[in-house]
Formats: sequence, C-alpha cells, structure tokens
Amino acid sequence: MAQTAFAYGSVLEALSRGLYPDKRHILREFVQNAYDSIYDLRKAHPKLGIAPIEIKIQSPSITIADLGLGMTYTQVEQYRFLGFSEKERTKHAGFRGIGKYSGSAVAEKLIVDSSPYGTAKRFRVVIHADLMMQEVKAGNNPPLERLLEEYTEVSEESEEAEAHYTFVELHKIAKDADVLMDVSDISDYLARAAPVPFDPHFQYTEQIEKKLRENVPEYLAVPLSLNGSEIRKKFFSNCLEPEFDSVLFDDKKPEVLAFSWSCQNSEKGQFDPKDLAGLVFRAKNIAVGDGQLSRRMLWKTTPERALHFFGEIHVLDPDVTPSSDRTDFEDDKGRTRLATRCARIASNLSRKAGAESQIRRFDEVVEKGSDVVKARETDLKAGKLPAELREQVVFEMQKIQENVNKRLKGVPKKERTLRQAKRLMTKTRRLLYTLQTDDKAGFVDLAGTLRFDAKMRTLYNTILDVLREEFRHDTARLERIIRRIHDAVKARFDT
Amino acid sequence: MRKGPQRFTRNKDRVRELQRETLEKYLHEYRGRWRYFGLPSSALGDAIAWRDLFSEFVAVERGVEGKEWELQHDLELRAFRSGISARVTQLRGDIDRIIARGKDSFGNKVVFPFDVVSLDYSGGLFYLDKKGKKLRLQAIANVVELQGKVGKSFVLMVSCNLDAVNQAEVRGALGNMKTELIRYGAKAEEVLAAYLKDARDEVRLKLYVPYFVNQEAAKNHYHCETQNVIVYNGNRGVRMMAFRFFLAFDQATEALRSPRERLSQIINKPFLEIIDGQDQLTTSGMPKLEALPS
Repeated sequence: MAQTAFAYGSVLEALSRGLYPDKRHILREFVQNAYDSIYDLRKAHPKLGIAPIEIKIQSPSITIADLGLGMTYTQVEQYRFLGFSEKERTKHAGFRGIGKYSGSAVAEKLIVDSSPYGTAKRFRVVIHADLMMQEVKAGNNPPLERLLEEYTEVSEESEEAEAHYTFVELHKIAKDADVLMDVSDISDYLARAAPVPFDPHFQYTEQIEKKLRENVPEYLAVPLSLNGSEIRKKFFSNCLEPEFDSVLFDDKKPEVLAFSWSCQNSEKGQFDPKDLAGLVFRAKNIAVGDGQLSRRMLWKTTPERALHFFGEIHVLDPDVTPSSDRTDFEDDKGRTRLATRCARIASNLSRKAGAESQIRRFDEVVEKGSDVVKARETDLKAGKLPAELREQVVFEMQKIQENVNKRLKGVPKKERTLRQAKRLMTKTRRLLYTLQTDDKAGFVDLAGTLRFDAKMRTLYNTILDVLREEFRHDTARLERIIRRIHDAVKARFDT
Repeated sequence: MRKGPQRFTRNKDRVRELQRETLEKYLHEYRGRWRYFGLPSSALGDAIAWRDLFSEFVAVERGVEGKEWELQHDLELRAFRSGISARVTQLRGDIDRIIARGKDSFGNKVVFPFDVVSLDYSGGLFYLDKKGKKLRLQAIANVVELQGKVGKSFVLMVSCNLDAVNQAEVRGALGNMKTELIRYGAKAEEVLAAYLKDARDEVRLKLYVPYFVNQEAAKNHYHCETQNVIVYNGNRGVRMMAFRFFLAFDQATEALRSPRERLSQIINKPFLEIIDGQDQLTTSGMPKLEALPS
C-alpha cells in the first residue's frame, strides 16, 4: 500500500494564495511579526528604546526589518513549520503561524535572518517558495511534510553579541503582486493599518496619544519607515475636538472591553475621501478592517453618519479574535459582544451627528434667509423690483418665517445664529408689513409706466398668468424672465 | 559551502583610508550629500567606512551565479545592520552591463551623475565577454562619458588584480606613450624599455590604466589628475592594484590632449605599496624619466 499523508502540498497553495485576496495584507503580516518581536523586547527589557521597523521596497524585493527580541534557533527552526506558533493569542498580534507562509504566494523566496537578544549568533531560514509551488503545480502534490522539509533550510553564523534583530526578505515579488511594489500605495496602506504613531502635525495627536496610553493597556505605537520615510497615522485636519468613550463588558464586570476616540467633521456632512473616514477597529494597535467594518457592525440606523467621524476603537477583549486577513473578527461570541456593547458608540455619535446636522441646517436657513431679505430690501430701496414679483416676495418672507420658527424649537443652537435669527424675523415682519400696506413700496409697475389701457393690461396679465403657471416650480427662472421683459421694454420704449 | 560576505584585510582597510583622503582632498562641497556608485561588495565596506560623506550609495551586487540572491540579500542585511539601509540602493547584476544598459537585471535605472564612482573589481581589468568585448575597460569609458554628459566633476576609483592582463594591448599603449614622449623631446626609450622588460604586470598597469583614463577623460572635457597607484596583497595573498583619479570637468576643454607633463608625471609617480596595513612610497626599482626640456 502506498504511503499516505494527512496533508498535501496543495494545502499550502490554498492557504498562502487564498488567505489574502488583498496582497497588501501579506506585508501587514510581516509588520505584525516585527511588532510582536518589539513588544517581546519591551516586555523583557523595558529600558531599551524602540527602534523603527524598516521596510524597503525596491525591485525585485521587499525587506522588513526590526530590532526586536529576535528568534532563537528553535524558533527559527519552527519558522519552517506551517500553522505552528508559540505566540500567545492574548499578547501578540499574530499567533497562527500561517501568515509567514503568505509570503510564498507573492515571492520566489523568503529569507529570514534573526539574531536573538543575548546570543552571538545569527540564524537564517530560507523558504524556497518557487520550488515548492513548482512541484505542487506540476501535479505531484507531495505530502506537505516533505515539501516543507525539502524546500526550507536553516543555517547559522556568528554575530555581534549585542545584536538582536529579525530581517526578512521577500525575494523576487511576482508580477501579479505588483501592488506590493507601489511605494505610495503601500505607504498609505501602512499609515492606516500598521501600529504606527500619530502624525505629529495632526492637531490632536498629543491629546489622543496620552489618552490611549492611559486607557489601552500595553498600548504600543512603533515607528516605521518605508524607503527611509517615516510612516504616521494621518487624519483629516477639518475636525472638531476628539471625544473618548470607554465601553465596559457589562454593568457587573466594570472592565474596559473597548476604548474609542473619535473626531467629528467640523464641516458639513461626511469626510472625503470616504476611505479615510469612519472608526477603525484596532487590536494590538493594528487595524482590523477599515471604517466600513465598524459602520456595518455598529450603525444600525443612519449608517451614513458613520462617515461624519473618524477615529479608532481599540479592542481590549481577549475573546475577540481578528480573522486571518484582519478584515473582520472571527464570528463568535466575542464578536457578538463587541458589536452589542460598542453599538452605544455608534448611537452616541449618530445622535451627535444628527444634532450637529440640525444646528447646521438652522444656520443655513438663517443665513440663506438673511441673504434673500437683504437682496429684496436692496432692490426695493433702489426701486428696481418688478411689481409682478410682489406675491413672490410675500411668499418668500412667509416661508422664511415658517422655516425659522420650525427650527427654533428643540434643537441646541449657536448664540450668534439665534441673534441673527431674531434680527431676520424682525426684518421679514417689517418687509411684509410694507408690502401689505404700501401699494408702491419700491416696485416698478410696467403697466402703469407705459399707461396700458384696460385691454392691454388684461392682455399683459394674461401672459403673466401663463408664465406663472408654466414656471410655478421654478420661481427663479420666472423672476429672470420678468426682469428681462422689464429690461427689454425699458430699452425699447426708452422709459 | 556558501560564499559569505567579503572579509577585508588590514591592507584593504588602509586602501580605503587612502581613498577617503582622495575624496576629502578633491570633493569639498556638499560633504555628507555625495552620491556613490560602485561595487562596495555585499559587506558594504566602502559605504560603512564613508557613511558620513554620502547621502546615497548605489551599490551593485551580482552575486554568485545560480545563487545570486544570497549575496544580494547579505548586502541588504548588512545595510540594515549598519543603519544605512535607506541610503543604499542595490542594483543587481554585472556592473559593466548595468553601466552599458543604464539599468540592472530588474529594470532599476542608474541615474547619473555621481560624486564618486568606485569600480572595485575583485578580478582583472581585461576580462572579455562572450563576444570578446573588454567589458570593464568599456565600463570605465562609459562612466566617464555619462558623467561628462552632465558636466560633473568626480572621483573615479578603480581596483583590480593582475588576472588575464592583455599584454598586446598594454604594450601597445606603452608604445604610444613612448612615441608621444619622444615627440615632446623626452628621452623615453630606456625608461619605457625597462617597463616593457619588467617581469611584473603591475608596473606596466601603473602606466596603462592612468593613460587609458586620461585618454577617456580628454574625450569628455575632463582634466584628469592621477594619484599614486596603490599596490597591495589582498585576500589569499592576491596582488591587487588601486587607482584613484579626480576628473575635473571643464567645458572649455575641447578634445584635450594629454599634456606632456602628464605622461611624465604618470611615469615618475611612485607606487604606494601597502604591507601589513602600512603604506610606503616606492619606485619598485623602475627608472624615472628625466625632466622634459622646457
């Protein structure tokens, strides 16, 4: 009987290729490993400083390097294993032992050098992904065990005693993974997804980072450079002061399940571009999904308001596990609890956005009304307003009063707008009184000026009625037509 | 066993110190922001030793055939370990072909000009490609031309061993030197005859390489200043030579001919021989050319 195995090479292909439809997540996997190594170093030697993770993209390779704790020989040996990791789910960002093989989907070789803290050695593991895949694709589909053993190698060399680092090269990036070589795109991606510090130019950086350090246990932001340029979390500058929210497990368990911060758009509506808007979940300070994930999970009503904000929700619940590609969380009790408890964040923000929107709408109504009144007053004062528009002006004033009155109730308002609204109401009342009591009131009466006889007046009024009927939904156009008639008649009759 | 990163001898370290003196002598402006192009080896010796002088190192690594990735990876690792990763741009492939094509095996372009070009070959200068072309000498000529196109003064450093010296070509060049010197009235027969008779290739290369670079410089509006040629024993006792030139661009210099003083200077300039990391000037037993009649 032929020898049997319990896993075959095609598993590797499926895992490495199928796991990450967005290939940029592969790079994030390696950043995650670097982050974990730095986290371990900090835990073991808190006095040591944090050196940046360095990423270099230059055709044909990508390198990811960190000055973290490094890997021992045993760990480097285990690096060859698929689905094996001694990392702890609750402490580390990566723990499945699969992500490292994701590199084999995009590179010919994975070359990893590591020197563990306190050992004057450097260990190297080489994964010949090209040779593995060749054999799988040739239809041989060898047992996974043999494939991993045959096409991976470990070696060691001496190293400086004080060295501690891990250096990974994804050698010869495949053509279909070109997206990984786009430095600008990767820079934006890492700024969103990686556990990097805030942009120092963002006006609330200091305030938010302080709060995160206070409220997120073991909060760690690691500097990261890409081709020598520092990567920072970037945010919109047109925002209001940040708000913070600690979500507890439940009333009986007063421990923090998630800590969020958010900033609302200081201008109208949603942020643009939208892919930078919304609240992003972060576990170990590494993004899980984007602003759309929290929108889908938490915003049960008015989801459009999710994009009136940007911010982060740092997940502290150890039972919540990011999915392998970190586009969502594993669908379990932890996720359900996260969604249920954090829904409060969404409803608070939604309410806030609603109130803000009403304030803004009131401001707009007052501002627009003031402009209309001012324009009408100016025209009347100059005696330029066609008498045919009298009814329209009356209607406008009444409408302004109605709109302002409607929005005066219930909603908080800015003091300045309130004063402006009162002035506006006074003006509209005064204008309406004038229109109702003064026949002339600064209007131009074309029929009177040209001394229309009764027949002519009837004809003219009939034409106007037709026009009014025709343009009843477009009063601005009607006004333009009437003004043009006035101008044309004046020019013709030299009045 | 895999080929590890190159390890440097004390002699090579001294060569690098002397090269640094050349850089500091000739390049005054924008120190710290110079651009380097060349062959620092996967151990990045030049880049590490001169990190304070340069803002960018364009380092070429070919690697060992069939396992190119290994030394190329070592170079990147070394750059990271030395804290200069962001300043190092690696071009992969044969430097002579890269210079000729303007790009490396992966399409990464070489962007001229540079402040320093260091062609630190571990082999001889006269290697031929499959078509019989002298790639390395052509590369030197190409570099001078490409730098000249943008009018950039620069330091050119060339190192090589004494493998496969093309005797006919070297002797031909020395013959041309003799003719030129005689035309200027120098008593060059005996001196050049001594060089031609000597058993050591290094004495002839001491004349040939500067003469060659001077010729190329002249074609491209450069004044060339040659420094003492260095000889030393490298790894495994291999005899090595290191040449240092400063090429000063001068647009007004139309098809400059080698000045007669230049040839006599090249001949009379003693070797700098490095033994056990110490250098000393030596004529190597070669006769000097008498001063030319004024």
